[in-house]
Amino acid sequence: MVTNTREKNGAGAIRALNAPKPIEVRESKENRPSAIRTEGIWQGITAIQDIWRIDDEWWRPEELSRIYFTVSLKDGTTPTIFKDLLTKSWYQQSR
Amino acid sequence: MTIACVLVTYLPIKYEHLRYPEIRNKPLVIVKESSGKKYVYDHSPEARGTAKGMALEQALAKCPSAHVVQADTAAYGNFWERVIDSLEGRSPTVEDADLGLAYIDLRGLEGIYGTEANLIRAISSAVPSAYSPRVGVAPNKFLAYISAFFCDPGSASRVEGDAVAYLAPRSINILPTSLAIKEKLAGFGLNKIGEIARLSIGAMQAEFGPEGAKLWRLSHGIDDTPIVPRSHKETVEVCSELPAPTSVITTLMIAVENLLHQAFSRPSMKGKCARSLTIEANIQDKAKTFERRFVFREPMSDPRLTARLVGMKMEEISLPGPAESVSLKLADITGETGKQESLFYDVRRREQLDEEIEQLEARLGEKPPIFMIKEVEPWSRIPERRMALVPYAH
Repeated sequence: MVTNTREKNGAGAIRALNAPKPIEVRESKENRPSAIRTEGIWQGITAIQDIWRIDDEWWRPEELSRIYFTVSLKDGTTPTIFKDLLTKSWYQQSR
Repeated sequence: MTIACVLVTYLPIKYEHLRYPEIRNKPLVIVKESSGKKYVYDHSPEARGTAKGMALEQALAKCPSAHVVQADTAAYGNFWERVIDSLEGRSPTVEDADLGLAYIDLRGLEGIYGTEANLIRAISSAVPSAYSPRVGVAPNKFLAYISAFFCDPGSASRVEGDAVAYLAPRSINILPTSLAIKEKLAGFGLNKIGEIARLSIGAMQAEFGPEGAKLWRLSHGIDDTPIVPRSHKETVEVCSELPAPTSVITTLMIAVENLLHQAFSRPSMKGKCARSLTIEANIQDKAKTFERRFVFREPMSDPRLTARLVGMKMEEISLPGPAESVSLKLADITGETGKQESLFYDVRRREQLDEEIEQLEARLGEKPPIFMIKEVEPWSRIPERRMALVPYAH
């Protein structure tokens, strides 16, 4: 439960956490991510650790359809990225 | 009952005349800044046309040749406090009514001083002669004040005979009431106190309410208001000369923190806390005093925490010049106090965090941008819906 701050309601006071950030991704022939551009630098993806898909909120005008990848980069980090299957855009969900 | 009134007129003016002898007998206006504007705090009789509370521009238009001096209220207050201390050495019952005005209960003192004349002489000597104190003696405070007001500077007088006859020819302007009431009295053609005394108390009360009844009683020389002695509050004072004059607040705060350690380590402060702190600094060359008073939300007993709190507020202040010395006064000393802390570590941590955020809010003057993570829909398949940042609530 969120603690009642007893302040006036306002959506502006609440900030999103872990909001997706748009990124640039190069895809392989199999439509898998092969490289991503982070902080202006292209990094090759050494391995894809996990893949999953979510299709949700079909009842809303803007439904949600994403395919997620947890990837390993050459610098050792393992960000989670996804492709929005409706807009064909790539996003990074977390570092 | 016999009461003496000690009256020093134009005290700030006389103080500045002693500080700056070259402006004696010249028109002098002392100004004080309030809400960004400068107002007349006091004026010498030579500054004709000026009045207390008048805007500086207006005062200078009335008296272009007037010398203007910034009010040093801390110095005037300290001087008058020393006078009150001296008067309390003469009588145990002294009321500090205002800057330059004090009332003393003379009952039982003739046995110490022999005669009333010796007693009055002793009281007059409590004020430096350069200030030309006036002393009035009467059976009550109002008559004693009137007696002091109309006697010659540096002398004493006593109200003898019929009080009504004594007051009758005096102007109503000396009555302790508001300007609006005085204007209304003048509107009714009541310009002398004797004219009020000739009316009935019912007529005065019907027109002016309780104030009218009070004025009627005063016009008959009746004043039952008691002398309210100064309440003695325990204070701790420490002072220190600075190695070199400085106008840098950070350097000043180092000296302040050292003095706080000294003050709180005194035996009289053992197990006690202070609710207020006054910092005074003597400014070089200008012979002025910088003074700031801080009142704490909770009684303080930790010198480091006190220095940190005061330092945050002092950062917003600039000294009027290099300070040569600094003194502290801890006041509103409370008895031994303790704070019940929670048994649980998490609760203690939370309370400590709440206090730190409160201090930050006091420093910034607004709510600091501190958020905490809250689970909103932890079951959601969409990662950004699971948690959100909400403003920290304490």
